[in-house]
Amino acid sequence: MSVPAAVAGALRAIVGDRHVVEGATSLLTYESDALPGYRKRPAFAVFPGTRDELIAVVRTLAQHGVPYVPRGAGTGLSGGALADGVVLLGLQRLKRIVRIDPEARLAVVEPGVVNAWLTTAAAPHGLHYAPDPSSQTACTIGGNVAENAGGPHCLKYGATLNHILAATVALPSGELVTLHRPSRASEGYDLIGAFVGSEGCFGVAVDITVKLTPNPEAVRTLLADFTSVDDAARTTSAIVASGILPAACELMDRATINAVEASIYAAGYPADAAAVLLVEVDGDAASVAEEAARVEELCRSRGARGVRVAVDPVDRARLWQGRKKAFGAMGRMAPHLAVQDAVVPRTKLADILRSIAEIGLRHRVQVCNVFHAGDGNLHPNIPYNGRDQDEHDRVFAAMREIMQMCIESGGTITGEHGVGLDKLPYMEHLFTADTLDAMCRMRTAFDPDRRANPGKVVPVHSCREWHGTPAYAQHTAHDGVEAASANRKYLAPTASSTLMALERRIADAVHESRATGSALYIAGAGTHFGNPPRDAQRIDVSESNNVIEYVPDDLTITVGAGMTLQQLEAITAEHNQWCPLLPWGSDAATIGGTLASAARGPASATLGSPRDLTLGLSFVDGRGATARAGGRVVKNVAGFDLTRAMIGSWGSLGAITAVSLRLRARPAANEVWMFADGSAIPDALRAWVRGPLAPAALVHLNDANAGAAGLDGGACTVVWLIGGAAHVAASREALHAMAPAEALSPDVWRRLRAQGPFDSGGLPIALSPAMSTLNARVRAAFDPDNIFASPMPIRSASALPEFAHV
Amino acid sequence: MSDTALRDTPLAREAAGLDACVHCGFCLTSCPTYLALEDENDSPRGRLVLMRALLDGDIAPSDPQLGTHLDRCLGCRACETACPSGVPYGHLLEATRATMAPSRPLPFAARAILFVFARPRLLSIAMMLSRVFRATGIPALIGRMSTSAAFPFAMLASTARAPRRIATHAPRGDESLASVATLTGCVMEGLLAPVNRATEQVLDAQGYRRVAARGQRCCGALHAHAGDPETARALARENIAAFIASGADYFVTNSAGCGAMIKSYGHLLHDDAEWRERAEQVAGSARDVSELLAAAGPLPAHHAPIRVTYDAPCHLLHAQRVGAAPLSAMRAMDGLELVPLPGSDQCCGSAGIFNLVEPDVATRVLQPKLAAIKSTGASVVTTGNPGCLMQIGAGLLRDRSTVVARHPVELMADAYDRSGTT
Repeated sequence: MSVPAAVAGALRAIVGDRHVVEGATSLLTYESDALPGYRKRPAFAVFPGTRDELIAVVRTLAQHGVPYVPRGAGTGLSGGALADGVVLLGLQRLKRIVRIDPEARLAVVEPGVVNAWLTTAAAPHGLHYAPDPSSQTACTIGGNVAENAGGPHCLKYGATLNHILAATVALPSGELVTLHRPSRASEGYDLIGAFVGSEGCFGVAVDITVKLTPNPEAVRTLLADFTSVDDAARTTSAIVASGILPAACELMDRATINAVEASIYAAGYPADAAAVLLVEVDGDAASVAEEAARVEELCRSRGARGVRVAVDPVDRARLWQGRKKAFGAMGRMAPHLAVQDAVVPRTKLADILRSIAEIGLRHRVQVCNVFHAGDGNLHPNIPYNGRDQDEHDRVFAAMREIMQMCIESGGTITGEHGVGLDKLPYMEHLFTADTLDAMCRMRTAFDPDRRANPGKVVPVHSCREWHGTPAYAQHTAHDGVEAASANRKYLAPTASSTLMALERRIADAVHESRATGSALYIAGAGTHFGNPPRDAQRIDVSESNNVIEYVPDDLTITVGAGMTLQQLEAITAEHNQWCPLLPWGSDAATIGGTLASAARGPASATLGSPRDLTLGLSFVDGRGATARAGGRVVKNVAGFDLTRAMIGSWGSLGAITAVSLRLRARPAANEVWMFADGSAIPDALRAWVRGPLAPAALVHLNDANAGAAGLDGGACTVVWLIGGAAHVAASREALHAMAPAEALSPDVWRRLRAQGPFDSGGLPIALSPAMSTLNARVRAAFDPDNIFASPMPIRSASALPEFAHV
Repeated sequence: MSDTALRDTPLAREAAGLDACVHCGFCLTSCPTYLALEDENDSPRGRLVLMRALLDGDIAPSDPQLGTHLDRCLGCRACETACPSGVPYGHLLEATRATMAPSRPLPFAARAILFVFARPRLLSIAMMLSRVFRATGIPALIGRMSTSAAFPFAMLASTARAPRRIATHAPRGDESLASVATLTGCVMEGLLAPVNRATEQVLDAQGYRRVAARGQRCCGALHAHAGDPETARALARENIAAFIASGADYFVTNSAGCGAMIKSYGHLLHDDAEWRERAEQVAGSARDVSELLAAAGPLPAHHAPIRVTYDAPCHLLHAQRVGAAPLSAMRAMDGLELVPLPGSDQCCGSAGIFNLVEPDVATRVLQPKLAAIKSTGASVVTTGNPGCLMQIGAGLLRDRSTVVARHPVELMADAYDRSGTT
């Protein structure tokens, strides 16, 4: 592909001569990211230094129809930021922290801000930016957003997706849109959810609004030393299954320990251990002490030779530095390093690790494991000498076997590194052809000309509507992927025939509706959408209400979308677990309906909302195609995020048929308290609600609502305390110190939810013209004929809406 | 590796060091030129990629882009303390410059400086003339002018200090800790002699027995950094001989750059069968003055109460990995209120003669350092290297700041003077 000569000149006029880099020598370093096994030569590289320059650069590229690849710090591990003959758009100069709002606990940053710089800047306010990829001292927030980056602490705090509140995005067309989390149907689809993890294919963030997290009151870091990898892996599963949610739980094997101990980041890991677990618990002081003791006991009872507890912050930092720099430290073992990022169900970790060792032996390669054990997110790394062709071939044969095995186990191919170029060949092993096609259509909604990061994430030949285009011809020539037959890895082998039958029935109805022009209406329990249009045909998904797969120790469940919240609660309660969706309204609602309406409840901010708790879902779209998005494991960034787009789409894109959810252990303590209006000390109440002992939920009831809820004392505040016994006791004590609180039955909470909502959800946000267009394009990608009747006011135009010319 | 790969060059001999780089990028944010210039070619990872291409024959030693980006490296080696896989960046940089040198002569100013430093008589004349010029007060006047050409004058002016008397020996206790030979140094003795006197005084105060190492020369660091390892080796051999002849236990320096060089004499003379062993012996007995002071548990004394901050010289922190010793030595002095300097692990832009040959980059790197010093509210910034003292000193002078740059031993000697310890 050749870039017109005039383009570089036009860009130079925008950013200055020094910031357009041309010439073979100077482009060498921009040929790869942190996975230098892949190299692609960009046409040239351009580095805007301000927001206005960035926007002008994107618009100039759009005017000339030139493809481009955004790049942050080049620390990615999937070959995602490689520009093959196209323009490389470097964002590292956009490194301004625009503002920090400690009161609202958020920050606005430019995309080139280094992850660790944000935490440093937030530290004086007692806040930090929670996602902490191991490369956090170098990687940028923009790159984190592109990859939906994880890190050790996303076990408890969630990955980047959970921390991005909004972003101003320059679409490939050059238009600016502000993507945010919608709170009602009129605000359109969750396009910030779709944008996070889109690997630069949906546009470039101009600024990003991120959530800042209060520093925990107490932290305890433990290093447990095991003589067998098996024991370490099983201990991980035992810790998580016990109901403790550690802030992080990392496993390192002996080869990794040796590499770290030989480096400047030597942390004092025991050199003769087969594996170590690095476990961190944090929170309020009382629960940290309780949980640390429990973790230590679990480690010892499962074979740990010793458990070392970090004695002070310096010691703790040293233990973490060793872990975070482990990948780099492997450089000393051999000239090249192959890195993988598969996720497997946590309960299968021990078996998988044993198989990985066996595969390594068979191919005569050394696999070093250092990974996020709590999430089941493996990083098998193989140091090798790439100049030896035989060794190179053996390494890649071993990696293919490992990846295949992880897919077979019900896992995924990438938990945080992204697909990029490296994992393209596995996409067809993981997703069905229809799912990949749905991803392509999502991408086209954002980037009609397919100019942003071409050739990445989804194999080009999987995109049916791309067939015959020049981009298709160019990229299929070298992406090296052979069309594989569709498969159903997303679903367990026991996938129910009820589900398949339902999906066939919906597809038939869709085809018929498209032929006749009649509308369809998707119904679960009928609790959320109000009255359906009279002439719409009802598609009832409630019959798909069975458990498709439930492995309690993995804390995940896959169910038919027609299952009600009540049923889900009963099934999970048998194993002392729950899925804290807990929306306002009746528990007779279906899970499908809860997701479709993105229903939130009073505790969603602390326990998670549908977008936080959903791992994957199946849906039949308005063209009759069935897509299986996401997966069943707790961490997954493979492909574009159709799941987030479906959540809150109010049935306008397709019918959700099955859902995989994240579960939690039921809290040990569960108390509901109330206090009368004006009886609490205001400052103390405010500090309590923002502090480490905050309640899971707080609802203010006026006279009428209180009466309806059977509370006869008039206007009052009801708070819900859940968690470990120590946490709830401490929280209760703090409550009593500031208000004369009265205990209520825990059942009150369910009654209150059924009567709600009691919060307004804030002022509605009106969609800009560009956002309306983008939303309409998303709808058109999945429901081009508007056959779904939905409260969502977004419609696809008869012709595909085009973005205004900029 | 192509047919044009460079064999039998200094870089080829260091090839294993290049192999250690996994391209992780953890070095990027540690690099002052990357932060200032914002181009990855001006980062350690980018330069290592260029070195690899040079080694593999993909680019020529005379490639102008290669030259530009290698020239702009400060050689601060901050990337080494960020690198998990232990890439010996400093050695690779020197080897690359040596490999490029035959096809790419240094700028005239750099060549002139290296020529003089390798010749003791010429050097002492140059230093004497500089001192005379400094005494006229003209450098201080010119140095405050806004043109960047005035910067070297400010550097010279910043070295002015009241003379110190030669210390009289007054060891504490009965037993001597060990015998030490001090490196006189070129700039230290030529322009900052009072620092050398202070060094002697504080060593004496701890009970170290000083012996002379006659026949010592320039340490060779400037030559090694600039791609002239042969001259560096010749100077190293003379220093090795002088130190061994002195019979001292430790070879002590108060200049971080010189100390780093002497500590890597073993590497420098690795291929010299005749000298290798002695080079390693000397490298192993080299110490920064702060290491010896900290090890002795410095004799406490009272300093006039002032607020002090500390900027770590790169060649002490990153090259010698000496971080805590200067601070713990100063903490023994009552009255010094030590406040941390934000970004003290970042280079000030001095880097040997870098500030003379790449003044624009050096100035860009210096600006955040001056701002950080100002933010501490300290009246004295301490640092243990003549280049840093002059770079920061010149920056402060040009900013008309009242803050002064001093070597930690100067403050300690002041405290000992005040307490009557000598």
